[in-house]
Amino acid sequence: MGGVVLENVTKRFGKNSVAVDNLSLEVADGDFFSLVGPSGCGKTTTMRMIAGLEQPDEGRIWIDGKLVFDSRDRTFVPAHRRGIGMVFQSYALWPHMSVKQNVTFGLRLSRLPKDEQERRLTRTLELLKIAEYADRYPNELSGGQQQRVALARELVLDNRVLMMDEPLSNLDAQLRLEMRSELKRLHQESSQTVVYVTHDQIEALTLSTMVAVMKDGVLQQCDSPDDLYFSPANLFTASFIGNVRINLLDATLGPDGLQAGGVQLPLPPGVAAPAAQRPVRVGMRPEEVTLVEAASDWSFPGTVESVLAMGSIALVQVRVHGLGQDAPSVTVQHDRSWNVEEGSQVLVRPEAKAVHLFGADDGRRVGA
Amino acid sequence: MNTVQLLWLLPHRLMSWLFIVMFGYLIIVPFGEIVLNSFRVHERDVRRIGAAVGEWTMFYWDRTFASIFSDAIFYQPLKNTFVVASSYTVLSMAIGIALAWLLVKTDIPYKKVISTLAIVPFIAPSWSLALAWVGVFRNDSIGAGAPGLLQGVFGIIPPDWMTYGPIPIIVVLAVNYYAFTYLIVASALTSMDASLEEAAEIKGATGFTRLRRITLPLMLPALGSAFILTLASGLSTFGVPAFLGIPVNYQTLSTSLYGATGSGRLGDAYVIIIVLVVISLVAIWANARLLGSRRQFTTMTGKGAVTKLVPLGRWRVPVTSAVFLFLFLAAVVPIVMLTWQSFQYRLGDFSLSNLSLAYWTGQRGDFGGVLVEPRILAATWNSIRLSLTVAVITAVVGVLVGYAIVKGRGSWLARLLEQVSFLPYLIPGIAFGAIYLSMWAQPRGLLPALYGTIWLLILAASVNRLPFATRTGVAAMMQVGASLEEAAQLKGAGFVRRMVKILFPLVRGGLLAGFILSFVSTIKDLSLVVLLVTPRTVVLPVITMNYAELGYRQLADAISVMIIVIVLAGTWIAQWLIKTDPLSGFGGQ
Repeated sequence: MGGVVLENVTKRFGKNSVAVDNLSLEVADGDFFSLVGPSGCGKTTTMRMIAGLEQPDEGRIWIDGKLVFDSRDRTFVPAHRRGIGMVFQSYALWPHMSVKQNVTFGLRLSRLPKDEQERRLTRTLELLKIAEYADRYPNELSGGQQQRVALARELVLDNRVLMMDEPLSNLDAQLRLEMRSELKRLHQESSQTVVYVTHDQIEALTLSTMVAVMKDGVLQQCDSPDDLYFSPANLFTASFIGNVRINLLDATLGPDGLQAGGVQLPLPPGVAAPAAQRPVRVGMRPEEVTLVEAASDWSFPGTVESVLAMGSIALVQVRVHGLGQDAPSVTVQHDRSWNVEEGSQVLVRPEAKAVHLFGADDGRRVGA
Repeated sequence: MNTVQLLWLLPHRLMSWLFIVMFGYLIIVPFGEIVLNSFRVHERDVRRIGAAVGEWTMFYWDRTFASIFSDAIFYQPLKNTFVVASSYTVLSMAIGIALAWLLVKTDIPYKKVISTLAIVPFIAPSWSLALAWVGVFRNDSIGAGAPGLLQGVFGIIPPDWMTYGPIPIIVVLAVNYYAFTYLIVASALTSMDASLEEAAEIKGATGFTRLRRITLPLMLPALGSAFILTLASGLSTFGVPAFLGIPVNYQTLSTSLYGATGSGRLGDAYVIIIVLVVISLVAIWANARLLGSRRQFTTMTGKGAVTKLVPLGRWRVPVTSAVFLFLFLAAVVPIVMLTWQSFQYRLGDFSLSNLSLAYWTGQRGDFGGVLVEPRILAATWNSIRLSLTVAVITAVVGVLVGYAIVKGRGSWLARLLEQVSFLPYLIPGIAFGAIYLSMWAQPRGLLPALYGTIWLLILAASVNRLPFATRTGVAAMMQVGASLEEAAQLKGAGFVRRMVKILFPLVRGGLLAGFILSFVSTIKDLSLVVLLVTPRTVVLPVITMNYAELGYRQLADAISVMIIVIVLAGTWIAQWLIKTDPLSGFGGQ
């Protein structure tokens, strides 16, 4: 065991603001589970409720198979009895203690035998490569080193569940990449259950085994990174997940297939043309749309509006003919195997399997 | 490129040098002279010592430390000073910590009202609180021979030790200065990252363990500076012991210094000044030691989640009532007391029929009311021009020094300037006054003898306020950020134009607030100017003290009320200005 289960958890701040709305989640043992969403979506509040730093108004929470919160009979297990560790966004290193004192603070409070404490301390300092800083104070460390100390402070306790609240957000881009692979390595070595909060969807996709997307306190989708990317459950997840923002077009789904303005688009696999007309939104990821040189099935002529070169790839904005004046131009991630210039005429070809359909009214995914 | 051109390109270096020389002359030189002159024969002691004027002697050190007078002029005052300072420090820190914790960490209601009232006793002049105290606790056998509020209205006769002496001094000082602790601790608690405590909580450090291992050590720098500030103010404070101690001959070092200077024993006065400065130095050094150098963590950014407030639960009503009772006694009663007494025709008669405007607009014996008496009007005019001039000088000098320090940040020159401008902080006001009294009794260089002119007061008060002015200036300049000035520099704007067109307009909000704060603290100050005034240059706080000594309590109270109104209004306007400054944080770091 070592998993975390949330059942119908709701948290309100004040009378009218709902931070987390009827949330149910299941984190399996050994998962690297990420909570992602824009700021204010309730992800940090969710983590703090799991940690026991915040009390939900309704619902139940289990950690490691043990009920730690139940609003009905007011069960509330305090934070330090939940067997969890937590890395804070600000690291929360105690400035008046040395690295060693920070790391051993929790050990001393545990009832472990002295030699075991020493063994773990040495092991953890080595694991995180911070043994040489053991006697320094936090303000004498760089951001990356502080981050390692914050991790060490939790790992040394060997808790089954480890929480991390935006742990990489205070690091510069280079260090962030380095710590990302470090986190992955640590997770694979320790096989702990990790609950990870971030607003950075790339970070969530690269690190996690499972990702939960939240918006305004409501769970949008909870899936593996691949499922999240390839079959987003709704418009929000589709536009939140992905490196370059997904193209969204207004269209109509009817007996004649998929019509966007005057253009006929391919139907994604598994979606049949319905008898009645229905307004939908079409999502196409820029990396799943290609520029082709020769006309073929499902290729549409357009005019290049702008080209943003980014090394091996280029983002090309194409105004597709016939979509209508109000329709946005389509962003295409071009592999630069041939040259495209502003103003030139090109053919745009979406992959049929990469066309995502969402109901225009409810934003839900249409079809599988 | 020659040196002159280089200095013109880097005006902050030139300014730093000018300021260091100027401040050195105005602070270090006079203090050096005091030290030297404490070892030299003064004219009035030529016969007693049997040596010529200016010869070396240990006479004054001897008389202060090891003569039959030592006990009266030094050891007893020293002991009293420590008794008063340590007791009131404990009391005011307890009040300050409790108030700060209640306001920041609990769900106590009416926070806005509480925080507004809580700093009123701090803003009001300390001698006015002492006056109000006497007004309440006087009995008909001590202190002007008229009953006070307790006896006159409630029929309770307070014992003499409640009117004058150590207990009243300690309580009044505690009420006056608890705001140091309150403000410092409240801001530290507010800015403390809540996750530091939560991280400990998760690891099982709850309740008292967490308080001892995490919260207290984190608050230690704040508590340390609150302690040092409070203690240092208590060691050097003059107004309260002068009003509440001198009448029963309870002397502290500051009143003993006042007595020595007043009776012409300048040699003894110099020795006491040196002792006072050394005590300040020790206090500051102890503070630095206490905090240590390695673990300095002055910045505790509040990036963590919103702090959870401790619910007071069933303590809510009793605690809130206690807080309001305290604030009523500390902030409201003194002002009501002073106002009421200023309208009494016969002192100590608390009946309605005794109310009169005699001491405001009327005539009573030799004295007209405060709004008509020529001597008081002259003192009012002196107070206003003194405070206005000092406020202008300190605002301008503060910004210029701040500019020089911020531009030169990291260089030894800037550090030296910063430290030199901090020096007046180490010299208690009354000692500073005594130093300037002897420094400017004769012409110096190109400057005439300033004694007897308002310029002596202006100079002394400006130099005395230098540490605060510099801090305001540095903060304002940090806020603006270098790039805004550099952008103007690239367009070819010279130093003066950059100052006038870019920097001053950008910092005007903070500047104005600093100006007002400088004005109010000068207009209420007694200890610095008490030794420097002459009948022609007397200012309101000193004339208040004179009237109180002479028994004209109502006049003293009326003047106090006027000053309290001015300083409260000024401080609130300044706070409002700082808060509404549209440029605050603009282009800062």
